[in-house]
Amino acid sequence: MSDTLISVSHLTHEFAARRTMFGAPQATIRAVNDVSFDIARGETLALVGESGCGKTTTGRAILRLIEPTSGHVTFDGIDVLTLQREPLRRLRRRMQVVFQDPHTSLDPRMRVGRTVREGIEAHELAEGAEADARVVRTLEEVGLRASDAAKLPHEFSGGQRQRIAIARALAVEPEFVVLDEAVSALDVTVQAQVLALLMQLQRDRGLTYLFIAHNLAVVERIATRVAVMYLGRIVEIAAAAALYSSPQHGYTKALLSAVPVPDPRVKKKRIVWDGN
Amino acid sequence: MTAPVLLDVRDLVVTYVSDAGAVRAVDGVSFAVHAGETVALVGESGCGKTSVAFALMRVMAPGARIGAGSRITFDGADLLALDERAMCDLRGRKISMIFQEPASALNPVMKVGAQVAEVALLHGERSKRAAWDRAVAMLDRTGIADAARRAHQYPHELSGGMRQRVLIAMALMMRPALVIADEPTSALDVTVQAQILDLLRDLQRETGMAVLFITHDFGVVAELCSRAMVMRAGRIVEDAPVDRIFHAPADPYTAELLRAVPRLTADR
Repeated sequence: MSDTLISVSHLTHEFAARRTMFGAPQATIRAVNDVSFDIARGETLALVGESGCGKTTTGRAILRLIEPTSGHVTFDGIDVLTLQREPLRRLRRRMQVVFQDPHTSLDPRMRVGRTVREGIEAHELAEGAEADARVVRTLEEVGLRASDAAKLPHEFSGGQRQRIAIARALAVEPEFVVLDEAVSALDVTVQAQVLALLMQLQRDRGLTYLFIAHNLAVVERIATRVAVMYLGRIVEIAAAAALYSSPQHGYTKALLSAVPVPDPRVKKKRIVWDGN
Repeated sequence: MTAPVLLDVRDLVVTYVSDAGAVRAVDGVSFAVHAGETVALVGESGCGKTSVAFALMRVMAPGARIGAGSRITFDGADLLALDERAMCDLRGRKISMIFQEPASALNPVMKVGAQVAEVALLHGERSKRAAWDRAVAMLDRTGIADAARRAHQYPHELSGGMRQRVLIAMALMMRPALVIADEPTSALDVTVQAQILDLLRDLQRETGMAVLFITHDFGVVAELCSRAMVMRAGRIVEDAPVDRIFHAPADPYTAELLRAVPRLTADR
């Protein structure tokens, strides 16, 4: 399929562990267990699940921020996991990431302009005045101002810092961005604004997103397709509309029923999933 | 509201003093909580809601000052006039708090059973054995399976949801009249949050305690509370029964907040 940008096949990642709390020795934990999916160009695949399900590890493995134990990842037909050195470095420009915590993902001692510029220089996309111009354009694109380039991260709110993180990711003109809980730590009004920004940028730049999140209501706004993860496995993957209106798997149903409704008149019936 | 007023707050001002100047985190807040009521204090980060909670418990950060004109009356007594010893007696026994981050609120080098038992020992229980037994019973009541064994474990051996249940057990040990819950489910997964909210609802019905629920999550407010107070920049902008807040908000900020809340289409 020529419009498949990312293809993940039988991805597995194990972490070494010592022993379970009952004392039995356990060699490994399979954080990601035989995960496969494709992401089409221009789409937003959401990877949802609760803490410990393996969604963040999956995202990192695709970006090769960690080396998965086994499996394959291709980006635009290129085998991501076997690349070395220069070709890998060039590939990294095309896939970027925005992390969850706006307070720790930016270097507190680097001025915003320099943070956004770093990728441009590292990938030799521009230099001098042209690089400066790119930085300003990118900052304005995410709703910040040229004058913000001279400031330090602590001078900004959480939402603004996330915009800086987005600018940093976009400055190198990637095709694919992993948004790892990118709006989860934001206040609800800010979250709505940043989500709207991400969707606008996707339209303007033709971006492909992997949206990792645990908040199903937020995911519903942005996702084209949704993959639900539980204990390292994908238990359900479907087009967003289908998943939300008629979830198939017991765990998906339990997750959806657990989302509190912001309306006191609605009493939701809680579905408990017993693991079967 | 026919139930008596349990907590009455008038013109509460909390100022943080630092080298950069003074900031009024709480800027003249007044409200009442009736016996048995579940009230939400809702707002975004920085609005001052946690500062209100800490002022009520009188556990202020260094550099924080409660304004001279502030009045806090609890169960008929002037809270701000009590000395620290009297406050210590009140905390945990008549007013208690459930904190947001169970991992940091629990002592990492103490067994969870001992931490729950400590509450009883601080408030008059003389027998260590009896305190331990009461702690296990409380852990069991909060839904921790195999409580007698779990009581011997350390916080790091428990999941986030279980740690929060331990915090709830500690807060409820002495059957306080008022529980201040500061974002008790924000750090938890949605399915665990649902269980904890169910637990809080059951316990509230069983004990008749009043709950002041501090949160930024409107879904939680709708599930658990009968009344909500919306805070912004240190002030309460709206204080009304939940149905009015959600369906006919008087203040534009409340309406703005509600519009921004993500909700499932299936739930609309």
